Amino acid sequence: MNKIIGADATGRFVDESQSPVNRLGLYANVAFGTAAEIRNLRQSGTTNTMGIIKISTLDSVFPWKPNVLSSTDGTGVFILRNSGDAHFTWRGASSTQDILDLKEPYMFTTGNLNNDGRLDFYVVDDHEDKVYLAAGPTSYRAYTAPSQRTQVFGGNVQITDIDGDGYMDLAVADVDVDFATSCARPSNENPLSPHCTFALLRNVVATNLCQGGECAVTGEACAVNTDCSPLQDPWPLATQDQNFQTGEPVHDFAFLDINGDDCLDLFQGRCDGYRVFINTTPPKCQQGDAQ
Amino acid sequence: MYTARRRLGWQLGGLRVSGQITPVLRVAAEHRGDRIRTRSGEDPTPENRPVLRVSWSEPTPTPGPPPPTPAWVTFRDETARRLVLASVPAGDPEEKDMAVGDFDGDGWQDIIVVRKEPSSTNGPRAALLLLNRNGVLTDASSSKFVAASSSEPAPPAHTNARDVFVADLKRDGTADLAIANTCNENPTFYRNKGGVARPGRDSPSQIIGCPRCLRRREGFQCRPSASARLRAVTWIRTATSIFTSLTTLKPALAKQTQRSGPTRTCC
Repeated sequence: MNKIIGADATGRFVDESQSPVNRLGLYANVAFGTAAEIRNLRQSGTTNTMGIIKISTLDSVFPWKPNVLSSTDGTGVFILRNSGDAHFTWRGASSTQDILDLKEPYMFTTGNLNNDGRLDFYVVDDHEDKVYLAAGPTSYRAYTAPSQRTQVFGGNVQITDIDGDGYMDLAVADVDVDFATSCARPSNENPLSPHCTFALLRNVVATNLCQGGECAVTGEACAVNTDCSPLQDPWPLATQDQNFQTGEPVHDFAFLDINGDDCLDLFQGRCDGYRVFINTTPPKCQQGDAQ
Repeated sequence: MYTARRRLGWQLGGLRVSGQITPVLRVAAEHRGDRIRTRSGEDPTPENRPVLRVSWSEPTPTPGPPPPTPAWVTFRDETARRLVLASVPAGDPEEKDMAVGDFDGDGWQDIIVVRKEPSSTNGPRAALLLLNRNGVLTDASSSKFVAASSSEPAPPAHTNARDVFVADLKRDGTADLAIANTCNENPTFYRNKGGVARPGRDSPSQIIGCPRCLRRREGFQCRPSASARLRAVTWIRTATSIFTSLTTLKPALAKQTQRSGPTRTCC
């Protein structure tokens, strides 16, 4: 069951999921709800448009199944809309903009990948990850994540402008913390993809244009620019593993400026400890410590 | 010959070129001790002060192979130099989730890592607080989580933490914590007590520093300022009674779930 914990700005918190406040109603139900975010879904900046994006996965629970989603397992990423008085409702399966990824989503993150002012999604699915670009107020364009590193299980995901070019990039950890052998490398007993590693995906939405029937960066066949993936794995092969992709798998990670040079560095919490990676991308990040 | 190097001031000696063009300022005078004489050996009086002939040349850099263009971003592993752990082993095997915030208000970004036993197993572990000390992430975990008062129970030293969120929940200008716990444990909220570090009482590392804005203004010259006092970081847990309603609710997760493929379990 999901909870809304209301803060009163004095350091006290109240469970507002139940009666009499009951902001979620039956939509609080969830089976293995591993992720949730509160976001301004209409990009209007007003508080009454803040919605909730949540995941329900693994089990089929009411009301997602069987009443509403009889044709699926009731798993997916669901978007609950704010009715204007801080109560949240779901518009149903027929409202295609309020349901994403009906497979087995585990984590997700949101952000504006193509700088069009609309909220886009990256969903970490147990099968293959998906990118959902908002194509308008009522629909999304879905893309399969362009990396073998993110196939099968994955974990924490974060969207941020890693290279500082004004477009949001993405990083996905390879450990599924609910999967007991995630820290083991792929083997006969471990169904992880043999390519599974920590992944950095570059935003190429501005350059991956359809030219002569082929996407300029990622190379897939295309008819129009929107056929081309907004993300790219710059190191798609295992032989191209970077130093932050070798060694033990990654539970979680953070991008932060560690050495004060205004470039985002990378801190990883791995199955065998921690790693600090300083961003040395030329020419901006080669000034060294700002001390 | 005097050599002026851009950004680094005056330097006596030969020409040094290291990846950038170094302009050379040639001065027709000699430096002997702390006096300046003309080439004829006369003292520079106001009447015969030498005319310094100055020429400015930009040496032509020797062309070489262009540096390889990286496929995208590049990172260098500086774990050994920039991470100091004390409360956890270097090979810490526990499950980790983390968040970033400037917890002590010094302008440097810090990290909080919440931990538990790996996988869906009941195994509470203590959190790890890494304060950024001039580019070095330094373990400051000890004694950072305390009870709000003597009447409050001490916060749990260990929780089954799965996620951590940083925000100014109390709107007092400090970074607070909300921690989501699994295995039927309630969430925990920690208010950053903030305050100002006290010399002689708090850790010296908390009051010796060089705020980043100061470094920027002074062109990378780090000069600790008397006014550069940093906040102490102490998180206090808010009262537990407000979670009473939650304790009676057993999440739907409290069972093993299974489907095709590998199995995920809950505590």
